[in-house]
Amino acid sequence: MSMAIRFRSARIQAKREFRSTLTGPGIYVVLSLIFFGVSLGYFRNRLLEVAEQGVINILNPGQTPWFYAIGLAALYLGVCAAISISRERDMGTLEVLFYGPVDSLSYVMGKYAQQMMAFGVVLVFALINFYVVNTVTNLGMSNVLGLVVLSIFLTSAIISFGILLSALTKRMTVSIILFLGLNLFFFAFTTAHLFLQSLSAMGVELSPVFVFIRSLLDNTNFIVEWISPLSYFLRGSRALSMGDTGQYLLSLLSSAIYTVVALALSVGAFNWKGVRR
Amino acid sequence: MIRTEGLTKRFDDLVAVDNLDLHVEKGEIYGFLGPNGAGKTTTIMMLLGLIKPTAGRIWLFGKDLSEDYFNIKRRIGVLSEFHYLYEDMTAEEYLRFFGELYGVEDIDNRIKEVLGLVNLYHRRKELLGGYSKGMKQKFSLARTLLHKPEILILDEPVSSLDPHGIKEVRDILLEENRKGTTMLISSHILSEIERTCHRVAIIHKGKLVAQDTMDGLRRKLTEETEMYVTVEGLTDAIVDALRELPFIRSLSVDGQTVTLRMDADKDYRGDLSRKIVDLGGVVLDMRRHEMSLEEAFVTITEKNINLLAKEGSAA
Repeated sequence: MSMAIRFRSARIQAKREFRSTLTGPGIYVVLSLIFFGVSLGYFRNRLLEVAEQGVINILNPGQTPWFYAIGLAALYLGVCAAISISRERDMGTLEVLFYGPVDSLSYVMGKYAQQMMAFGVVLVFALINFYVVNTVTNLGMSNVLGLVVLSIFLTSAIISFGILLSALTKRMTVSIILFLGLNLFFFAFTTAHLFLQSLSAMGVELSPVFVFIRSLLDNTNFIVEWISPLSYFLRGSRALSMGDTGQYLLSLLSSAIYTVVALALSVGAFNWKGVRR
Repeated sequence: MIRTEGLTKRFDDLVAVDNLDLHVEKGEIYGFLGPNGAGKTTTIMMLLGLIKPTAGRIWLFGKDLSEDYFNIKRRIGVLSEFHYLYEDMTAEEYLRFFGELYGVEDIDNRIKEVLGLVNLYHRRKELLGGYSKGMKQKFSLARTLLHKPEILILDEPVSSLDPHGIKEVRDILLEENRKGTTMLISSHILSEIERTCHRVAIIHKGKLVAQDTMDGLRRKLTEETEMYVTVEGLTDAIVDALRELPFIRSLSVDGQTVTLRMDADKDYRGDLSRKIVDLGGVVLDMRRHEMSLEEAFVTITEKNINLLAKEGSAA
């Protein structure tokens, strides 16, 4: 009974916020910028390569720009998720919601549902954009369903990470800084780790300092791989590129688990922090 | 309708609410008073399940909130001191959202009714961000009444209103109470509490120090009453006779009016009247100075009086 009421409560809250997202200019502006930027940058370069070399050899030319675009859109939604709870707490509207039939679980579910509904808009936007761009450039994109499903799961992980940070903080600015700061750290960590690994693989002799850094990154990488939603993104896209169905399914499963754990922790954090300003 | 037993909240070393036993009856308007920082808001937040008590229990409609969280919350209306609204929504959109959340039937009519009550129906299409402070307060009351709550918890319901607004809100609340709504009102505007509440509770430094009707409070707080009696044909004999009465403590005369300070243990007006008439005087007017809630509040909180502790020791 109470779960049905919770779902109802979450649905009503998500609907209100989704309507507000749809009627505001924010999502359209950001998505236009992302897709325009990615299309211009990536496809232009590929077309220039084709013009210069006559031919390029890429398995699925649309996949990388798709992940850039979806990744950036997911980060945008992650930022929105990161400020969603702290903003309401900061404004005091959270308290008013909780005077009524809303509890922490239904509230967190509502926030998550709203961001995922907004991602639905992103997906429609992305599919139209890539259809048009791929038709015009004739670069092509295969396994669209696989990309879409993976994108949903990966974005879900990023959004739930944003919600978790939002539940932990009381100020909007702190949430944004924390979300962007952590993601930047994860990105820098992963990039540095991959770079040093590739240097080693190429047989480049590293100085003792770099050897130390590489071993430090090697030893701590498993933590980042568990915590960072970006690493789930990376694993999924890699599996898809290699056509590894097992890894692909594992990536979906781990993203789903990540989402559930992050949302459960959000409910806990929310109960701990309370609803008051 | 609302009952707490041993309700306690500690924040580290600070005891914000200390062993509070409240009991609000069905259909009652209950004034919940206390100086700033006395623990009123903490108590209200605990009643609503927004702050977890350190100890003690709470029953709303005879049930613990955790037993039937959603249904209990649907039967309560809360108006807080601060009017936190989604300012990017119109009044109508906002009420529709809350109506849906509370499961209000025939929402269009209900919105019309509650906005009509607070005279804001004609502004229903405007963004809430454009409302004045007073309008926001009245609008928040409309939101509070939207789902026809059986219990209303009101924290400073008239603090931002002008005298017309205060009267408007008072009339609405009294009408709701006539329909059977139970109310717990916390306010610093003691004259309003005195006018509307059936019983008042005073909390001081986290402890409940008084809980009674206004008359009961006065009786407990005053040892003597001041009475003004205007007498036609006032003579020295009458004045002397009054002075001799055993319950009179002091007396002064100003023209036809006698000011008497007397014991407050009983109503002595009959004795006074009979004595004056027996000596040939005619009582034109007899007024008793009644202790206001403000006086009672100040007396209790400044002198650290705990009427409940006194009662306990007397028993």
